[in-house]
Amino acid sequence: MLKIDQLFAQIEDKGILKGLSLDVKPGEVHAIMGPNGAGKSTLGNVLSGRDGYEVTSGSASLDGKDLLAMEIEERSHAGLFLAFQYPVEIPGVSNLEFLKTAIEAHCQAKGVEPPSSAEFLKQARQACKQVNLPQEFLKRGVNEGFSGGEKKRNEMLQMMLLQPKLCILDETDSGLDIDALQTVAKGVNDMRSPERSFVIITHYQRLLDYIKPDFVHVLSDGQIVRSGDASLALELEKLGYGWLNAEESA
Amino acid sequence: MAEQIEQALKREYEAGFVTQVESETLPPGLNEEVIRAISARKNEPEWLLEWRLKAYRIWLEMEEPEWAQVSYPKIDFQSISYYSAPKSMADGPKSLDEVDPELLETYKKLGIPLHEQQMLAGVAVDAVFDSVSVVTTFREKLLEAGVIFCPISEAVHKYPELVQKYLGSVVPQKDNYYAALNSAVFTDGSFVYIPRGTRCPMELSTYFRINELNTGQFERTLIVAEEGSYVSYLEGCTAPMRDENQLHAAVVELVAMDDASIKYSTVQNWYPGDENGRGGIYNFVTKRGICHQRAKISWTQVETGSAITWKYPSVILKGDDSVGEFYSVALARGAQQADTGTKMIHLGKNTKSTIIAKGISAGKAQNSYRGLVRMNPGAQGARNFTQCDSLLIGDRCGAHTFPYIESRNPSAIIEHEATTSKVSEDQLFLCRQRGIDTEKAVSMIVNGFCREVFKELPMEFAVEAGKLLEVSLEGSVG
Amino acid sequence: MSELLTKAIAKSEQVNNYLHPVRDQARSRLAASSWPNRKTEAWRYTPLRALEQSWQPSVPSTLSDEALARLDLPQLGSLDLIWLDGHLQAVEGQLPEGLSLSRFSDLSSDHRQSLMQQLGQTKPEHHLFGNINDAMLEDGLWIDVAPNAQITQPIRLVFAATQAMTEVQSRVLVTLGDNAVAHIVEHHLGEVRQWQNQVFELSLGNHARLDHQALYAQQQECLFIGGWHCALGQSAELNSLVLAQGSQLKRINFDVLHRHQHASANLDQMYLLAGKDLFDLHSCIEHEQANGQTNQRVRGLVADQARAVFNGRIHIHQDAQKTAAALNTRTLLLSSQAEVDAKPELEIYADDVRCAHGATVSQLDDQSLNYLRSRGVAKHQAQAMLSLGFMQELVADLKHESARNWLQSYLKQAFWALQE
Repeated sequence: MLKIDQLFAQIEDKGILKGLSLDVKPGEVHAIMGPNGAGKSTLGNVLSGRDGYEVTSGSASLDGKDLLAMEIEERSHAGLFLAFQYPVEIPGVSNLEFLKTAIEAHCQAKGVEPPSSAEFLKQARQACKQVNLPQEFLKRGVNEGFSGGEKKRNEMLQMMLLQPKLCILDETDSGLDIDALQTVAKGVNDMRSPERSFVIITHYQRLLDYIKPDFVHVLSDGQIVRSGDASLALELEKLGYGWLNAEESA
Repeated sequence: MAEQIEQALKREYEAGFVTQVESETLPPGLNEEVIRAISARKNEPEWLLEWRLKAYRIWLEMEEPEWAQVSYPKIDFQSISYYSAPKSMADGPKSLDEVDPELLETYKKLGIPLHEQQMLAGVAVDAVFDSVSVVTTFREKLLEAGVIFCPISEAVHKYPELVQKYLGSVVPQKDNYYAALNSAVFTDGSFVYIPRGTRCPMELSTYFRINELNTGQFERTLIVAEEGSYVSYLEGCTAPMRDENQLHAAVVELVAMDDASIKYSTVQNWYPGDENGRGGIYNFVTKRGICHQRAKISWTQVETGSAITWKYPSVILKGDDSVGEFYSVALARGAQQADTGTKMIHLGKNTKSTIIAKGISAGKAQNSYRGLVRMNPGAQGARNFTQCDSLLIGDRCGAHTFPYIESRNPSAIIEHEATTSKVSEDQLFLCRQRGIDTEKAVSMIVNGFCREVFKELPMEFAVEAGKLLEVSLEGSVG
Repeated sequence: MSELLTKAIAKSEQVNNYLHPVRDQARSRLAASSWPNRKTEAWRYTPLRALEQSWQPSVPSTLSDEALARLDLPQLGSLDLIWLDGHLQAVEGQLPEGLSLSRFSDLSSDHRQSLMQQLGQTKPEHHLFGNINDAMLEDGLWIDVAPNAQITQPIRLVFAATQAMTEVQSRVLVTLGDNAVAHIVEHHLGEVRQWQNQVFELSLGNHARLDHQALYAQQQECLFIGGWHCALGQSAELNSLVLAQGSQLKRINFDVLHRHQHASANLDQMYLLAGKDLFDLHSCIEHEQANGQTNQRVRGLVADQARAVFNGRIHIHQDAQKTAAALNTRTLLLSSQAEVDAKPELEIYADDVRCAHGATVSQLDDQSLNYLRSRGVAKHQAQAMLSLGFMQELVADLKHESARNWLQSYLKQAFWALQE
């Protein structure tokens, strides 16, 4: 599904990703952990095509299609979804209007009929229920005046409606209380399927108590320095990231 | 990124065509003879001619105002023609069948079919072409309810006592430079009278079109809502694309008697000139209403056109417990300049006013909000809330706020807030990550910024306003 | 009333010293100016009728010990500079290292040249009274803080009015070198009929910091027109608090120029007006360069038949991206004959900025009033507590303890006097 090979990327002239490789197969859940400044958020931003990041070499493809050659919205249409660490507010634009526009754009790209208004509304209400957001949030401006937890739930809501192939969660667990954390985890677990993959970027282990990853990777200084199964996360939690560096220099 | 956004906001001026119709136009120039000629052409009573001449003499003594944040070469008032009408209108066609088809075609092209059966149900239209009213629809139906809706030139003959009583009662001839000029040379416009206790059964609307070259349009609108009545009135404006600037100096007067309510909406889309500021309409307009006891006047405007807009729809809150509202979206792109806002003059007790002004600046445009909130000593317990938000797109435009706050009553409360923002990269990125292209995303964000104002527009106009920003308004759900 | 202009122009030709280029330029600007009237935007709400009197020049005098005692200056541990009717008294005591004080007239020829380069650098040319001050410029004081000098002792500038029916033009230049720190306190007082026209020009070097408090306590008869113009160097910091009472005519133009990037200005301005007083504050914050910050808070109490005028302008130039500027102004009217005219203006030419204005004119908030009353405080007392609290909030943020104590007690006293 997602194949990243020797990816180098920089912001202005500062190298952030330094030869990162990752292979995510359909249905897999990969967790990417690492200390602050390792390049975790950069990975999500580069894959989704955010301005300001320059890829200097390497490749990234989604289902064999070159991601890096696509516009931001084309990557979205291709099935890439990024759940933001800090979702931005768009005052005055209702959630519903926003979601409907997004879904229609996806349908148009795929050349299929968009759902009818009634059908869409039904789906939106259903998704709202699943992420524990009251229905009136659909009528409010996108993230406008939402609390931190509500913003993250709203990200999950969007993910459910857009049904992406590859979901990248960028520190979605940061700043969440235990209830919200469980809601987010439940959202992800409900969506797990053999055709869908997840890349979960996180600083802490605790989200992984609720979402069992198939693989855990440790990102440090722009590279994956270690990979393993779920137990690697526990080990990291116990010993801290300092342990990594100590071992390397030893 | 700013360029992408600007690109997304660009659009063709769709109303820029010229109608080929033979016109009878007075030669350019302004003097007492011209005023007499206009008055004679309209067959006006003596009092109105005298009223015009008085205004003209006042105007001669006045100076052109310079305080607005706009710049333009001095207007040569002698190079403008003050009267132009399609020749076919000279005989005064009695019904739609007699109206020159070219004229009907013009309005059809603008999306305003004048045949009643083709129209939106529930909207009556007065169509003003240069200096004359072409047709007013649904008049009979309105008359059944006692509502008068006709060209003001006709009202002068049919309802002289009403016109004489209210003309200039809210905007006196000496009010300001352009109001004085309008009073001297106004040609047509709409007259609306809603009798006591009547809820006007349809939306009333006037559509103004400037067509002739070197002509100014000086329309005059007067709306009188008697005790306990209600009316919603809409106006729209367009003009051909021409390299020369053209002057539009209108006056609108609203009278809301006790417990009456007037909702006045404008979608102004005069030709804005080209990217370099060549051509376009100078839109210098005086609009004011007076509220008696418990009356309400609500101005909603979407200003997207004109090279220069100079316009401050105001409310005099004379009666106790009366309410004034001003909702405005002003979009200035290219080389447009807008200086617009409102005045809320609180005289009565417990009067309330709300001002929501949204300014969008792009390109090299300058967009200013200028407002006055005055609490007079008698305005016990009065309240005002003002919110002015500016959205800047690109780093060559300007957004300015000049709110005057004057309070003479300690129990009055005035709150003013002003903010400025831009379409942020983060907002665009979020939209695009969810699959929405830049153009649509910008429209959506700009539209969201204007939402509080758009929701005040009557349905029929909300659609048009949304189109003007290349945005579909609310989705079909919600 | 352009006699004042005529007089200033005449004076500019009479004086003879090395400052003549300043006078000459001002003279030509004055010749092209007209006297303000109600249609002059900058003077829309403030009539200048009170100036229509025949003013005499003040006479130099020496401050006796008794007279000094009568001024009743609070103890701030400051270095004191006292102007008596515009005439600077001899300065006593040792100057801290890095601080130099010079009268314009005492400067060596080298220093004269650098003074001439500094004068007029921050003062806008279109200010009528600034031009009058220029045209009549004979002398002034230059306060210079050397680069890297940290002058923590407050430098107090006292301006006392004692000679009735006189006219006083005064001029102060303050320059802080790079990384310099200084603390300036202005104290204006007097009860006699006098007209003062004052210009302060201040210039802060890169990374310099100026803490500033000014008390304009001149009473009713004292007419005052002042210009306070401060330019900020890169990463410079200005922390200023102004407390003013009104008089028949009191107008201050308070300008801050962000001439370089990353500077910050924290401005607190308060006024407390009673009787038939007027206070007119025109502030103008120019952000010429990027990444600047301005935080301005204005609070006013207006009692009796007093009138407050506030014009707060924030101007963001095209290059001033990433500016954060906020102005918040709140006024309480305490009587049915009091008036306030406010205009918080924004003029913005850069798109990536955060600018906000908030303005309220109101009575006290009912909720807080009811809260206090529910705790047993009588209504009038609760009102007084809240009104005073509304002002004290700003003073309480002052870091310098003795200045804070002084202004707090002054504020209290002035407030209770106003309640009577």
